[in-house]
Amino acid sequence: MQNAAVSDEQPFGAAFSRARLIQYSVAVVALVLVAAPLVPIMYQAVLDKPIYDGQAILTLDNFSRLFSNPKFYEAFKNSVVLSAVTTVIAGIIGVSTAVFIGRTNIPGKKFFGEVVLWPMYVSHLVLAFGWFMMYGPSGYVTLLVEGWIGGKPWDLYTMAGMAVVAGAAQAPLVHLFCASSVARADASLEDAARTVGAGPFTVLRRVTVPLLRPAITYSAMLNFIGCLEMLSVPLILGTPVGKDFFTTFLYTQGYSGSNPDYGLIGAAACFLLVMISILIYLQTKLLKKAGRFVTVKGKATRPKIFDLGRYRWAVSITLAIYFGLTLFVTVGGLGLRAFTTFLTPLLAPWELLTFDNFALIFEYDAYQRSITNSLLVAGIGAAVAVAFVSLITVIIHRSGFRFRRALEYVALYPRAVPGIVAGIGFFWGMLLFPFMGPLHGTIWILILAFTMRTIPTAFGAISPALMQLSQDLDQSSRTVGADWWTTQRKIILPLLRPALFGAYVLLFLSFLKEYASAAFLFAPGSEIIGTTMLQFWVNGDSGPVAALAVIQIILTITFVVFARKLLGVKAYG
Amino acid sequence: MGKLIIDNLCKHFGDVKAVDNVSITVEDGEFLTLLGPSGCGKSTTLFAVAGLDRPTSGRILVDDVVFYDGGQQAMMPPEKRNCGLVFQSYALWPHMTVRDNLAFPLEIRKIGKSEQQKRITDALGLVEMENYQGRYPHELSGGQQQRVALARTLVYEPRLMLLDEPLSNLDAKLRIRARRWLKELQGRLGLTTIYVTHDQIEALTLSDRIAVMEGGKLVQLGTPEEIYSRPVSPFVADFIGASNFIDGFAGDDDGDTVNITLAEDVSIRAKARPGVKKGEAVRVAVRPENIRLVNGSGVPGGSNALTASIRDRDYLGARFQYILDVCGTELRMEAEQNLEGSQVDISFTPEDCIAFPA
Repeated sequence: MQNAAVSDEQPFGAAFSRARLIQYSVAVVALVLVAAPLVPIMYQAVLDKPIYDGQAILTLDNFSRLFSNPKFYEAFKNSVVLSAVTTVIAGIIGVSTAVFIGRTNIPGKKFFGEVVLWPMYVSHLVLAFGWFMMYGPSGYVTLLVEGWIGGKPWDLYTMAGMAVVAGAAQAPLVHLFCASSVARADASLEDAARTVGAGPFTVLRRVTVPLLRPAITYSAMLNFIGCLEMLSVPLILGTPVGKDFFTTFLYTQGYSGSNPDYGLIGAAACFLLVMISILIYLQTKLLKKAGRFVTVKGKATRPKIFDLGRYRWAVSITLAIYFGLTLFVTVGGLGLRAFTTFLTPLLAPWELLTFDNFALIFEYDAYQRSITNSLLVAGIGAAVAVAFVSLITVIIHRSGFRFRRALEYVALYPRAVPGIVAGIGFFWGMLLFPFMGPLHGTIWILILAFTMRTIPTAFGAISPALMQLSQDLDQSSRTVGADWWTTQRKIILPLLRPALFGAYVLLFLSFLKEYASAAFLFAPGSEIIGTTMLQFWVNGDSGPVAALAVIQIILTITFVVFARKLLGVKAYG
Repeated sequence: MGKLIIDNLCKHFGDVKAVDNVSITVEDGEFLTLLGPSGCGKSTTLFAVAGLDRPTSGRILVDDVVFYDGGQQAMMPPEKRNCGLVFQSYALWPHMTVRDNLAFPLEIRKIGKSEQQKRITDALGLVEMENYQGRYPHELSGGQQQRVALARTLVYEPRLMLLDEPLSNLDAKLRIRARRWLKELQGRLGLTTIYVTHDQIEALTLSDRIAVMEGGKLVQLGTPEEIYSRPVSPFVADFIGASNFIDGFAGDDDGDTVNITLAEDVSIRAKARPGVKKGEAVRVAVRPENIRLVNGSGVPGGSNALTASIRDRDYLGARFQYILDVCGTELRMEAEQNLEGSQVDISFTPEDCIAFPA
């Protein structure tokens, strides 16, 4: 529990202090930013005509049309089933990697520990393209295996296929939660099991993994929600065979022909928002109770490493095969495809080598611009977002602002807003609110949308560091004569520098990856890598798609290395 | 400059009265200590003076400047009050050097660079830290950090110096040195000072006056001698000097001392506090250091004399501490001798016994 922060009210006469002015401004901007996409969606959901049509009147007809639409039920069912299966697959993979890499003596665990997190750096769209090009119906590996066994080995365009792809993409999240929990577990609980006669595998199965329950439940909730709002896998692997999901329903309705059904989209987006809001609410409740499962003592004990004996090689080889098939083959396949005119097992790739895919991208302004735009959006946008969220965070935790609790709710709410819904909402916002109009076709609307989506992420990265700073540091600054704003600017924010830097890295990467909310917002001049990839994919040009994916991966790697170097030189007292 | 008036100050957290109607006037240049156990409201009072905590009602004034007035809902923010507060944790800003820590308040007051440097050197000189200007806080020992924290409050010449248990994080030897040095410095600068502590020795040695607080209330305000020798309640007697308590019944009053019956045929004489009535139960406080062994020369005239059995003894190095039993009540006593046997004769003067209504 935090002490009530120092109040910043102005005495005797002065109506508005500098502190209040800043606090109210930031709060109002935050509220407008979060409401900007939500209000148009809710408004459109109850309008009988498009939002820009002055003749529109209020109606509940959209919802009755939505609920009587068989395609919607199909999408609902598919989304829930896919999310459930994906969550289970991601859970099994993530827990296994966390336990085997974190707690056993398998060979190569250091390498696996690095590799396991790589999918988090890459856009799900890129991962889905990789799977599509390698394991899709006419994928390189599929055709190769088909040649050996003489029949179709698998079908990626099924629920099972999609769940494997999405599960592999989401597993790192489970790993991350469980690995930190595994590393801090109380070793004496396992020692006790050993002394009563349990072997290493039994201890892992009966003690170590059950103790991960809170981490597993929490990451499972995150993954379930994340999969419900995922656009990439359903779009790339589901739409070719006519399978509809929540997100693809919205996407195809929005892009269908010249006359999209605004009311229906509004109602569907509204429904998705409400559903995810409820799930987030449940998840928050769950997290509050998680404290009862605490197995960690204040003292850090070094967790013991299990000796798996002769099984250590078997586990290690299994992991190597898993990462090989899901990561190296898919990403390697993208690389191969980027440098060839065509990819087929019938011809050796070196006979088809070409730079045409890259040449195409660098020849056309629009394609080239999508790369520079992506870098601008990530580079500038992430900085703007971090600056803004750092203000939100200090207001929430370190001010006497009257509405700081409410501000915290506003700041955390975007967790419940799927990317595609945010995209539609901001798009309609530009139609509805005149002041947003000039943003159309600029990268600023993308920065706004991405910022809105990542407020919770940045808040989550900054606020633990802020809570660790003693209130005495602000209070002493106030008593020596600094007002609230000077205190934040000269004392608190400088002390938060490492956390702000960490948040910037996080946001840069997610801005670089983001595509779903941009799908409705980009216009000629404001393309980004993700939207251009989608365009090429719609036209069936997988060569340029692969080339752009490779470029995005290279940019990501460069930035991550650069950030690590910077973190390395971080001199901090 | 620097007369502080705290008038009917209250701070409530829901139903809990953290500070309950406290009124204290601190004269210019006075060293006042707020003394009490944790949770008694002493720090809340100090933070209310600093402006870091908003009281529920009451008034705080310094030289007719209103810091807080509950009636008018007027609250001066902390940065306008020009108080110097030394935190228990010192609260030195870790990203700034010693010099920068001291320069920060001067920059806010828009003081020129050369004047800044002069004042910083002077303030660090006062605390004998002038050679540490370029160090960062984490490069200093606890005692050094404490002195820098003090210099940081002195550098801008505050009208009040507020100290929140500033010595509690120092080890025992350093604490004694810092105490002497703090007292000398305060006397030299003549700053009105409010000092918060739960350590009675610090309070007794440093203060011009002590305000003892309990459960949010001010229970006694007086000089160290008054507090020590004339406590107003068993709580004060126990908190300052860890008294022994013996229960008994009040008897005749001779105008100076009153007769107290402890058991059949056992009685003593004690100074009575107001409220002690004949025939009613009383509680008598006797400090361990005032209990003497009866030796060959006998009991001094007029003293109380008792025979006690020895329950237990602890060797403290130079002395022994004895746990005695007098009429079923436990008494602590210190003596240099290692006493033989299980019985001992003790005496103490009526002036050292204070009877409170039970």
